[in-house]
Amino acid sequence: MIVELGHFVLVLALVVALFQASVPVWGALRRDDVLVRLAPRAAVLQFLLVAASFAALTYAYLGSDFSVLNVFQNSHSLKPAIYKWSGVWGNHEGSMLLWVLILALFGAAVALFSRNLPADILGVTLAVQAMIASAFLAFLLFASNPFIRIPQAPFEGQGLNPVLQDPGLAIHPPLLYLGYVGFSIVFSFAAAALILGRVDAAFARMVRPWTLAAWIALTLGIAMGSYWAYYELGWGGYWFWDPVENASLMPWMTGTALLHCAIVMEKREALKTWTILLAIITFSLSLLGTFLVRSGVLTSVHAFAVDPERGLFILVILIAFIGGSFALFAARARAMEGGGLFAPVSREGALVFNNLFLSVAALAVFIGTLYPLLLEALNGAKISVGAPFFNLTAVPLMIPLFVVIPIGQKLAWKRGDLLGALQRLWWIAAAVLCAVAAGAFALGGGPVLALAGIALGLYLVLGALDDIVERSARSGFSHVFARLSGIPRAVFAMAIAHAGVGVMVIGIAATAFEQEKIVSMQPGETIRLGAFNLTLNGLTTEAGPNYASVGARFSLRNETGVIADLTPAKRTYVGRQMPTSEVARYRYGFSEVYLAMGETSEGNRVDLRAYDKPFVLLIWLGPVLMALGGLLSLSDRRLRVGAPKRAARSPQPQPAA
Amino acid sequence: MTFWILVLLLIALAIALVLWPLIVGGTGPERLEQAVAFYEARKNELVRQHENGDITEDEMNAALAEQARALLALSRNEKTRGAGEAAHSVRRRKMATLLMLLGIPALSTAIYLRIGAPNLPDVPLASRQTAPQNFDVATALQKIEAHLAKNPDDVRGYEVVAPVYLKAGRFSDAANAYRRVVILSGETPERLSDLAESLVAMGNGVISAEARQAFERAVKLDPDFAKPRFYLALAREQDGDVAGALADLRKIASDLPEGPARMRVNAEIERFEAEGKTAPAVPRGNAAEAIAGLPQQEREDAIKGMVDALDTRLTAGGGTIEEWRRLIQSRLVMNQRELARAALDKARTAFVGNAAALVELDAMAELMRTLPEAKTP
Repeated sequence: MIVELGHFVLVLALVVALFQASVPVWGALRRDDVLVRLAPRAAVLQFLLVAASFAALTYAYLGSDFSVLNVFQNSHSLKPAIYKWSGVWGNHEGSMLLWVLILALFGAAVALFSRNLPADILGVTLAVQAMIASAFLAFLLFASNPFIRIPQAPFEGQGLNPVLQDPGLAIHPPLLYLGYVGFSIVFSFAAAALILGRVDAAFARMVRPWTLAAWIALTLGIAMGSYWAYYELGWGGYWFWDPVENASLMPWMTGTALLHCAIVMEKREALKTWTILLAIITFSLSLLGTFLVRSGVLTSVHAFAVDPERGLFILVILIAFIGGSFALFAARARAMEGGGLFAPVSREGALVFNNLFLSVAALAVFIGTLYPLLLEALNGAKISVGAPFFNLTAVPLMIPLFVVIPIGQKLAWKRGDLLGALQRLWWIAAAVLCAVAAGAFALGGGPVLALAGIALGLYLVLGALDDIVERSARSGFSHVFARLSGIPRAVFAMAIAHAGVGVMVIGIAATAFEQEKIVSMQPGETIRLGAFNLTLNGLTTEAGPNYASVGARFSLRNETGVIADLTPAKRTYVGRQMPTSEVARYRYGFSEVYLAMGETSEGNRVDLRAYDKPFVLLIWLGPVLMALGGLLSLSDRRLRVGAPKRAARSPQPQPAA
Repeated sequence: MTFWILVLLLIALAIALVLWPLIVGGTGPERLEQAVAFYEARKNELVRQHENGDITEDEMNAALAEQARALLALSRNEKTRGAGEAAHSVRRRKMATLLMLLGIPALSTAIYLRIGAPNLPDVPLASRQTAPQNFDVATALQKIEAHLAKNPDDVRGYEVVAPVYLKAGRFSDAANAYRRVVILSGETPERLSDLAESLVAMGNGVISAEARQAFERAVKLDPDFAKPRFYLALAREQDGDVAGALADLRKIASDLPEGPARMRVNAEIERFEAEGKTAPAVPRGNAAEAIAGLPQQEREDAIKGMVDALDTRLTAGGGTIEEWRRLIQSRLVMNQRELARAALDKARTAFVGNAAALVELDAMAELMRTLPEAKTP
């Protein structure tokens, strides 16, 4: 009965969403605030209903209820409990339910935390959110229903894709979805502003925190996906320009532009039209990403959904929302009054520069991702646009952007002093170049591009931190700590996030110093890898709960002796006869030794790919720092202006001057 | 019944929550009032920033002026908003209320009845194991499993659970159970065939080397036993020898008395005849009959000639993965291990970049390694 209640509640959520999508708009256009105020309640109710439905599906998974087709296809009674949980969203239907749940979560959160928004803006925003929800709930119920039943429950389920049996993947999709779907609320804000034809001051403040929240989740989601690919797929790469990865990178790029735009709008009420356009583009790209991954138009490791009917359904949703919002934008954007003016050389100017470069880079990724699909659809030719394309387009576009980040940080709002900013950075640039040149000399040279990359990264880190140093030591060093505590959190947030970019650039540039050995080894054989010696001791076999694995035992030595025992392995899952590679890694500092096993052949020979990857972990530490910066910014007290009205009206305790 | 009561409650709850503001009516905070509060908050914040030294006095004043302008624009906007809306709004509210009051229950139940299954109860694993109608399967199985865990040498237990596993689709468990039976009470044609049959089920119908060996041993023990002969005929088909497989099946059918077993074999023969034209192209039809009629030595030479021809053709011009597999299998069957390995290597080069084909070739390599050296006659 619980399963069927979960099914019914999902239907009820669709019906509520339909009314939530229509009645408030009707009210807002007729200026009837009573009808409009239905929206926040409906939004909360909708979240409760979808959450109940999700709980019912989870219940079916935990109890191994194989009378539910979805559970039967994706679970197994002997599966460890954590994979029964993650099995809920480890498949197409369940992950779409999670998508809708997060959509409803954002709707409810806006309903609860944005009480001081004018009623009509809040109402229409939530109505647009409900339109998205209606479309996806309909898709869920009519094209990929997770609650389809089997009258005679089978005795046993069919398991889960073994590649997906990984704790990392249990968290990765929810995070990515939080990011994707989080941008929906910004989209809804933008659509509401267009429908009502105005951008409020309070509204301008609301966009940034929601953008920031979505952006943090997306940043972490992408970083986690990249890390997962690094250790699970056994190729040792961190980014493959795979369409599924690009699908998440595109909204991240425009989302980053949007985030910075929203800051300008919040501070100066300028760039309103830009912000709205970017909000539409970002969510459109999120929808596109969902379409690419969910429709099965791509065939890649990630895309485990294949069904043309579903693809068509999502395509219709995609066209309706993207087309609709762009039409609305074309019709209404001119009505938006401009905000504060600014000179080309100013903080705003630098942010516009950032927007342009991020958007163009996103366009390059867009073309590289969709062109092969288009070509295949038109004449059936299957081509692949690989890393070289992106390395020649998107990557060079990012370099001027990186150079300008520290400069922009130093410019004042409205009208900046370029010379003053450059003067300070000049020292940093010179110091960095000297340090890198000295380092290169000590190492006996290295790839020029990689050295330049490391220099760029260091420049970014120091440039970001210099802001803090300058502010805290503005007039002598006597009050450094007092000043340090007076700096708003947003400034720290900016410094940390931008330093994160630098850290990531260093990590990526350092991959040029990576050492790769592809060898076939016999027990007892030793190879040299970077500063280490690697010896194969022998083979070992192991039987796991649902797989059999063959491992190769290695010991890793430096001058002092054995420092680690490493056992990369190949697993074969009984259920699906699909071998997976389990890599073995040894971490030292931010660097890693990475072993992936290939075939074993007669005489216990082992094919091995061994890597020494200096500073590889910085690639993921960077995004984590960016997200941390985002969190810090989200906690800044300026946002508390968005707190409920009552608190704002009562006299606020002022700190003693 | 309880289900529908709960459904009604849910609908009532949804309506109550959504319609509350319409029923209660009233107005929320005025828009202008809200804007003023926001202005105050923003002003306090700017002053604070100025005190902290983050912005200069000029910047603060400019920002305050901007805010004030926005407030002014809003208040002008609010004043022009007509006051004559109230008259319509009561009717509109009634309409909206009625629409939702009827729409929410009607739409939700209508959609649910179309796609839902209100009469199906939950069937979690726990209930399946205790439900009386499933007693013979689930509970009994569990009890026997517990018994076997304590007495791993009890043949009777394995004999009971093995067919149950097979029916439940737990093929590898079934194979393990049958294997225990064979180990504990010795090889008989029946036991060997059961074991091999579960291995075939495990491989989705593919007759693996282990299954084939078991069938062969069973036939050796009882040359007339139909079941292993039947599977061995299918194995021949899977190796590409369709004509031989068909001949074997006909022979088995003629040996069997009328009954379900014979019908099963005949069904297979009919399938062969239906598929006849699309079956693999190695010895078939006249060529096959001609070869079959040759004396032993010449027959082997003829087959070898055909396999060599296939090898030359594939090496020169390439071919499908199916053809390569047939070549490797033929080499293996003819006990030409070196040539089989060479063919495998050539196939691997030919299919570089084709992951699906490479997986299949890996399976072939695996098979080659596990296959014991055949005794040269």
